[in-house]
Amino acid sequence: MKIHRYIYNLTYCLLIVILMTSCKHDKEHEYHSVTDKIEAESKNYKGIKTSSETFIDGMNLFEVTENEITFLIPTRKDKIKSYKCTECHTQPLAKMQTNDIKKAHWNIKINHADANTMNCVTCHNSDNMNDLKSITGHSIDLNKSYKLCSQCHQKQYKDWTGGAHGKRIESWANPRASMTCVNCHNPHSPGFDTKWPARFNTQKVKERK
Amino acid sequence: MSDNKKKWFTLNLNSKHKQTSSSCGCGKTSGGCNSHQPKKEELSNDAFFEAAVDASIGDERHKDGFDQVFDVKMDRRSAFKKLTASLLIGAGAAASCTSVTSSSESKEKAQIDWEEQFKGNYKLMDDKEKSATVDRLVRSYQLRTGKNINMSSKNAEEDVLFGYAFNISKCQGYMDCVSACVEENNQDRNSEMQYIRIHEMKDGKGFNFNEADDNYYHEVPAEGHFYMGTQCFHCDNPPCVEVCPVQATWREEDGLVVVDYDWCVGCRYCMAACPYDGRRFNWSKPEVPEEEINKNQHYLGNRMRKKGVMEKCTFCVQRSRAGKNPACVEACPTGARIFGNLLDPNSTIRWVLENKKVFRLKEDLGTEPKFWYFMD
Amino acid sequence: MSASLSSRRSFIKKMAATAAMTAAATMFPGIVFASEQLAGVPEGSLDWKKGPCRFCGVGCGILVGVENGKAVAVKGDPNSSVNKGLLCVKGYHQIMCIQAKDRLEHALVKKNGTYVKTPINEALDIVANKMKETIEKHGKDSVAMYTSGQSTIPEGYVASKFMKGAIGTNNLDCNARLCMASAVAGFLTTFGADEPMGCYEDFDYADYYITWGNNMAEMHPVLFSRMLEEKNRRGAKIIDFATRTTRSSMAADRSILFEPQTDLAVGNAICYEIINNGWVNKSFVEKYCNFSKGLTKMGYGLEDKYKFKDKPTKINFEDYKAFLEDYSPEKVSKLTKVSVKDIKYLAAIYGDPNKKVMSLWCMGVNQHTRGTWMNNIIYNIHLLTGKISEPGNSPFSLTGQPSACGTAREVGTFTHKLPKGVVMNPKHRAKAAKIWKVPVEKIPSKPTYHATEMFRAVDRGDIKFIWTQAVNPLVSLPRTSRFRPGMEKESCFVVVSDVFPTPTSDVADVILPASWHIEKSGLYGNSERRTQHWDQMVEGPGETTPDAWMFIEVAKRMGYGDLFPYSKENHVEEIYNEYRQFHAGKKHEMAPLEVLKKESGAIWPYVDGKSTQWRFNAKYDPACSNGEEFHFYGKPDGKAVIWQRPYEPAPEMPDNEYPFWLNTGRVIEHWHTGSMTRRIPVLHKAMPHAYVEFHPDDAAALGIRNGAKVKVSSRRGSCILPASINERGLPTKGQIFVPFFDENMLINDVTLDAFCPISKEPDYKKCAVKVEKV
Repeated sequence: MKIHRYIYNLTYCLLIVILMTSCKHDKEHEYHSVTDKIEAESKNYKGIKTSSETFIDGMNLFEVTENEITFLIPTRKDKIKSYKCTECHTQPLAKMQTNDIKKAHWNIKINHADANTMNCVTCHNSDNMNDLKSITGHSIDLNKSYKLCSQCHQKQYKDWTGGAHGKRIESWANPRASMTCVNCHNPHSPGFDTKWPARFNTQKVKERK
Repeated sequence: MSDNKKKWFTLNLNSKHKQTSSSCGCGKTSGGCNSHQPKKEELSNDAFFEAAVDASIGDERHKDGFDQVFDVKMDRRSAFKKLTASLLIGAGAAASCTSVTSSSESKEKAQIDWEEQFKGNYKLMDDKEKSATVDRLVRSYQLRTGKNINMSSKNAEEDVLFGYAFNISKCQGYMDCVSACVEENNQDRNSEMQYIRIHEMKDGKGFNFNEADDNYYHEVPAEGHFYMGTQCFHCDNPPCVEVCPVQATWREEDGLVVVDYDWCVGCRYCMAACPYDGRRFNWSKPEVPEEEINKNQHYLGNRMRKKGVMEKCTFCVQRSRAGKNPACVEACPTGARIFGNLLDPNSTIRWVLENKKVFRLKEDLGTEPKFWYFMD
Repeated sequence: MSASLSSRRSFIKKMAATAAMTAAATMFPGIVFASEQLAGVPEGSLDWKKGPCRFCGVGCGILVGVENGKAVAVKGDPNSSVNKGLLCVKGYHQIMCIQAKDRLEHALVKKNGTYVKTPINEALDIVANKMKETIEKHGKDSVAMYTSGQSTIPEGYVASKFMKGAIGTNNLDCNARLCMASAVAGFLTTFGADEPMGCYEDFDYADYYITWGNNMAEMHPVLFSRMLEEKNRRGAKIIDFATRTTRSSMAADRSILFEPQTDLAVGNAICYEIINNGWVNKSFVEKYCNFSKGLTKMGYGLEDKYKFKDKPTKINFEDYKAFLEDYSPEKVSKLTKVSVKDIKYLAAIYGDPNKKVMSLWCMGVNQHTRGTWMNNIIYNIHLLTGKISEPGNSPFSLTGQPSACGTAREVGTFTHKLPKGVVMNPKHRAKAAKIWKVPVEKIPSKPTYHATEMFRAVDRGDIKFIWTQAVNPLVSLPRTSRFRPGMEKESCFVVVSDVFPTPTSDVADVILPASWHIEKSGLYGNSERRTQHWDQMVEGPGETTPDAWMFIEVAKRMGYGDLFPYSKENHVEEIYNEYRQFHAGKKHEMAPLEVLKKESGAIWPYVDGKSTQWRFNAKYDPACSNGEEFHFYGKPDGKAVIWQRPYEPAPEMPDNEYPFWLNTGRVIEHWHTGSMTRRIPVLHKAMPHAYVEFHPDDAAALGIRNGAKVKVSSRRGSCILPASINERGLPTKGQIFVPFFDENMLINDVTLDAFCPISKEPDYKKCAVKVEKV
């Protein structure tokens, strides 16, 4: 009958309308995934007021640009008490070239790769003891020691420039300030020992029982 | 139970007091706001004060309705008496305001409690009302303890959407993040509440949460295991927000999913809805030792909660809206945690999303969490 | 060393052990060190006796090793909670000064221009007769006494009783007027009660130590060691806020420099930030604070007979807030030369409720023409945030001298003070009269001369007899170029009691030989209200006599013997027990002598066998009586006062003719005028003479090289000193710094005798000078 048909069509249309509008949308914008949202909303990104300046103020940082990314890292020379190595080592020690290296800085043991791969002169520049040296013998400034580490550890270096390896200093906002390799890893013994965790949840043990 | 019956009855629209929302105005599970049934009982000023303090934010002395309703057997009369505590604030505050004998401090306390009782949903407040409620809370804390706190009601900044990334290869299970989070956010020490869980899982078995151990206590990292952490993922399509019957939780403009502790009724529906075990409930009154209280607080973040409300990770809203990293990010010694603004194309979080192989948990549920995992 | 030793070998052994301990002490924190001491270096026949150090206001506990009647060794007292066994370079070597060859062992009387050795009794006769004569001819107010913050408590008490109770004149003042008067005025105007409300234990709890214009690394070295220890152990932070870069700045986490005199503006800017950022602890301020303002544009005391009395008026919080509108960080940044960021940084530290802050200050704030105001402003900051009177939150006014607290302030050797209260108050006079057993009319009710005015009076001829004791005013007063000729005048008879000859004793008519520290018994009171006792340890040479006994002898000769019925052997104990009566009561009770003899000192109020470490806080202080959490019982309504104090410029600022600021101060090696420490060979060799510090740019502009002789001159006098560039300290551009320990390079000839009108304390840190090459 016509009325039946009419009602049937009406119900059908209503159903469709309900189905269409029942799709869960955000109140303000209609995105299906957060990545869509990010893409759309960062098109007009002009920068924000929040900045990291209040937090990094007072620290000795300088700018580096690696992999086309510019960020701040802490200086190193002012944090080493006995820096300017040449204050004591006035002449380049020819001894460093030999295997007989126990006499200098006797309290530093190298625990970095094995003896075949690394010894003191792998990194330290015997001609100018204030600098480090690259694989090809070029001088590397002590503040930019990451250039040395990146020779072998390319992957970590790339991750570090992007921010996936290493830690940021204090703030998530720009300008970005990140730690360098040596702020966490002791270059002479870069690995970390095991330790005990910081917290033990006795309540959970109770609950589990 | 008789009290529940009361609750149904008293959701009556014959209210003399205007409220801005149709749902219950008080944050209590104790059987609702009985302001609709004026019960004029003559009580002394002390009792008024007691009643006022009883139902005030963070009452310290008496059991509140939760225990009364569920634990204690009592007769209808005494239950009813206690349940009208809420109402008595109104009458009591009015009386004590005009009373000559109660001190100006208790008058002020009662005044604050009265205003706090009847404020609206935080979402609907304008900035003036927000700062007013923050001032009231700070004042109430000062009057009660004599100590000062800084509470902020800073809104979300434009063009900011917070995102988080977690590097599974780096996490060594140190739990420094858990410790820092507990201290920063004034979490209950008695029940050892932790927003963050670190799961220790066996290598080779994938993400097997059934067999994961979050309560290990041995030297880490242990051989043959790996570690990863979960917390509230601040989903962009949060199921917890949808199911809240009173709209006490919502997603802010900058992506943080927050809870208004004064609006939450403690039904724990959101706890059931969250697929990631992100939410925590205060089964008992949260207590933090005085010296350990973090006095830099935010209304939606680490201010002192009361018994019977939900709480969860807020990405340290008191820190992140000021530009600082959340406590867990700051504490992690290995740099496994990365935090930043997703809308900034030059941020580290964006670089991670674009250059590392990232994934999220339970993608198929469509919750769109803003917390990605990756490995070196 | 003389030959009366047990055996050379064992002596050398002991010396080596002591030397090793000395060396170790300078390297390791005192806490570890103390237990090693207790573990035992072989004692041998050394008799160790305890006492407080002779020098600065920290009041370290020392143990002096005596062998055969000679003091041969010093070590820190491990039982003293002040220093826990650690001492500084002056402390370790202090006993060596008594070996000096020119020690005064006999009384000297000037006859026909030369000093003649006189038996002590005769000298005391001369003094007493001259005093009597002067009083008869010119009246009571023509005689004066000038004592010291290094006098022991009995000495100060006897001086006060003698002058005020026996003779009946208020012409008694002391050199603590030159160092702590502003601090005292600050305490009295803000709290109504003198002396800090915290104690040294605050160091163990504070998260931030903010030093205001003082160089603790050199001036309070053992406390600075404690701060460094906390820095290493707990991550506490040290912020140095000063006018020049010192050793303290170099060890601090942050060094913020400001233009001289503008600390007033920066303090107010911090208060502005606290109020405008909502960091005020409103309930604390409402319950426990009142607001007040005083007179401004008070002058600087440069004229003789300058008089000033402040007039406080009550204001409220809104008035104070409106007043501070002129002191926003942006507005004061140019004047103070402190960046807006740094001011906000300091304010944020005080404003953060999570952080416990200790403010520490000494002469930079006190020796200031608005010193009282500056003390008030620092208290304002702590009162607004409620960070006061609890462990770790402490505005701590450090004392410079070993007993400025114990003797000068608590006994009251000032022109206006009595052991309890002031001369202007009839109730206080009645109490003194009762305990002293003198008729109450004897005690005069009007104060007469404060220190600077006293020596101006000597110069004018109003004072005809002056007796100085344990003090060296002709090196330590400001503008000594005026006061030296004044004291040389015939019109004034000068009596000097001292241990060594000094420029002051050079103008004396009678020189009395005083016992040094350990040659007499006595009591001192240090910065944290700790009273310490020591027994006589060695005999003094020749006819040296304790100062207190010399006062008593003169008093007896003048007919006041019945007021001083003390025995020679026991006078210190008897005097102390009499003095204790003045302070009975929970607010100021002094510990009984038995406790002081047994323990390494006790903090007052000593109530029911316990020291009150934090005052005004009902949790720790039994004297709090009004039922509130905090009770500032010095004020009648129990509330502290927040004073509205503006910035006012210094009296003499650099101009075209005299383009440099002159700042004076001390160095770690020497104590004050150097009369003791320059006679210790080790210390003298370490720092043989004074110098003038320049900023390298200023020196280059003047063509001055390191070590070159320069003449520093002002409108009052001049002084020739060698230049020091980039050595110990670094002044800012346009400022020079000179230490005042060298009597041969008398920088106080150049300084200005301007003082704070409220406290009457002179400002040694700011005057205008010019520099020329010589």
